[in-house]
Amino acid sequence: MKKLGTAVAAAAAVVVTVAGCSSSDSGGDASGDGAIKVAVITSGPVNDLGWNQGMVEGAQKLDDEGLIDLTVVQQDSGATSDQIAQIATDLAEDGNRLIVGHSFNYGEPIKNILADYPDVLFAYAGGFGDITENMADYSQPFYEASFLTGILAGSLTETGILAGTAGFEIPVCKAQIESFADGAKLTYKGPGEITLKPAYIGGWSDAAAQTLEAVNALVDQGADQFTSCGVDAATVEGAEQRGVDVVGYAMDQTPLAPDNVVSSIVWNLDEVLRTMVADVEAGNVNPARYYDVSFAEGGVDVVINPAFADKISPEAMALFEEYREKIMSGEYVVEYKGGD
Amino acid sequence: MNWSDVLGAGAIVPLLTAALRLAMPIIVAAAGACLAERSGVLNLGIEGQMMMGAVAAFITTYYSGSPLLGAAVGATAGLAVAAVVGAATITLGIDQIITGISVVILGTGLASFLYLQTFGISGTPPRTQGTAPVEIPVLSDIPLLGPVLFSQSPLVYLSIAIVVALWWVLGRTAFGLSVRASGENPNAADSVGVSVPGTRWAALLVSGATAGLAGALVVDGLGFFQDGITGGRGWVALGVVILARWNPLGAMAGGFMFGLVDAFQLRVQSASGGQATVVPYELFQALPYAVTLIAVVVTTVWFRRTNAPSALGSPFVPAK
Repeated sequence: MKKLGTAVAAAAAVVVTVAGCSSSDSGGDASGDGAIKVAVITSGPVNDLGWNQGMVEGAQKLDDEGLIDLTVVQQDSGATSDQIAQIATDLAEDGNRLIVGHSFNYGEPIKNILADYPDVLFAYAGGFGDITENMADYSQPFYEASFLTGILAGSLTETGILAGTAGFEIPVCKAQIESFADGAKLTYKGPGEITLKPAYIGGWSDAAAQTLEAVNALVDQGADQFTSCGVDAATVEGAEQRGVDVVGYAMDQTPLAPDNVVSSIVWNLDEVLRTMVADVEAGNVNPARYYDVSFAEGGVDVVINPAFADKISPEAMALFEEYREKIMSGEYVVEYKGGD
Repeated sequence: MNWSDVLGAGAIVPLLTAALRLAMPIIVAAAGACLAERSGVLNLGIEGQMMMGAVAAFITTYYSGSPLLGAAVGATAGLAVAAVVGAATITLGIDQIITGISVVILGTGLASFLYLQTFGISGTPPRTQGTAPVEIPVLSDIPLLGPVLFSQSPLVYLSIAIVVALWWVLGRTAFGLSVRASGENPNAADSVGVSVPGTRWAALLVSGATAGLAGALVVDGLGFFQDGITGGRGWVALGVVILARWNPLGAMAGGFMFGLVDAFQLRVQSASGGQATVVPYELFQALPYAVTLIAVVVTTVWFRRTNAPSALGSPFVPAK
């Protein structure tokens, strides 16, 4: 027993340390002479029509323009700190001058290697202005867009119960889910008041089955409008299986469930990356910046599934447009409820 | 919070159904692993075999439209990966732990590679339609048990049948006796004419096939594939084998317990309103692992000794 138990434990530890170098994809073909080398480390499949694909497509756009020479390293959310630190080190050794770790979880491991590469700009998806030396952070103002999707959800819900699924209770996810309910309160006419049920799964793409069961549990408990933060694939699938409404995440996810995706929060990352590249070229690497591109600046947007155009009440649609304008002009500020 | 949302009369069937869905891949992989370990082979590569089973099942289902064919191909893929383990550990006598870990890395990476090669980056991520539940007449009308056990996917029935069959084979057949002998005292088995390598090969291939089927079960429920989609269930299955005292029926109980606690914590969390609770949600998430760990300790203390096969993990070298 002891021998076997130790063996199993040791095996588990080693595997999570080394299993991640599963694939890498070098997309640097259109690079011009002046192109700087940029690397992106994903936290899931590059074809997820969401968080990772949004980043890769944004970076690919700059690569196609000849502005950068792009390398994409695909990792899954089970990658350990050691793995991420090693990959970032290899990429820095390889001459990349901007290295983007596209996950909230990649911040700590990359911070440990900053001092070794003072001329490289590192960035990670912290989303709360977390800057260390030459480590930048970039914002995810999903909560602003989420507020608008909530306005639509409030007019569509019959039970008044809204749900939000997220991998962990991190600031960006919490803010997004809370704003969803705040938006819904503007259009919900009862019975009762809007109830918000968040579910924190404890993993991202590696917890897909649990996410699906969380959606089942929430639907069983009356939820009929979903938003999702980072666990979108299984949430959209669950919404489709149970016939409830859901908000797409990071990209227009309508194709995943055309009858269930009401609207999608779309994240435009090419402009964020463009600013980072300009800073690297100008040598503004240390201290790094917080790349905060808000809704008003085009960082995020909301796309409505055309199939829902006539299901959403005209009043809700008008309110949606009204608040969209107000957020754009700065007349209305969506309250950030992600904590300090 | 309102406990009737989780344990009330209307909530208990969805709870148990969710538990079975979460548990089934673990149960079937653990039952197969029981057979392999009883023959003396530690199949640490289960997670890699599951990943290969998952991707093979997904690709096959996507192109053929048949989840059952997908499951068959998934099981075959798991078997093929297990053959790598067999060639290394049984035929060549290489360390089983090192081989197992390498096979997990190989299977995980290869699954990711095959998925990307097949579908690429463009367009909409592929989705499949999983098996539809089949209600067994009469039995599905039994209160509580009916909807939980007899309104399931055909793959779940198949998996339960396989687990029972493995228990029967291991305990009631001549082959099962050879398996147990190869794991307890391979020299004695060899001396009475049992082919220890042959027996271990057969048991290991069965374990690989059940792991592949487990991967197919995961993607059947989800309808999509992602890196890391098996989420460590292969490792949980290896723990369940210990908990199950190397008995396939015990694996059924142990795996179900894990699934039940997982389904329970997800439901408690949503019923209690997530972050609004006094109890941190991280505590809920740790619950399935904590309960499994406690169960392993309790069963070991209860039985006062380990039932691990004596020759588990050691290569068989025939006496000259």
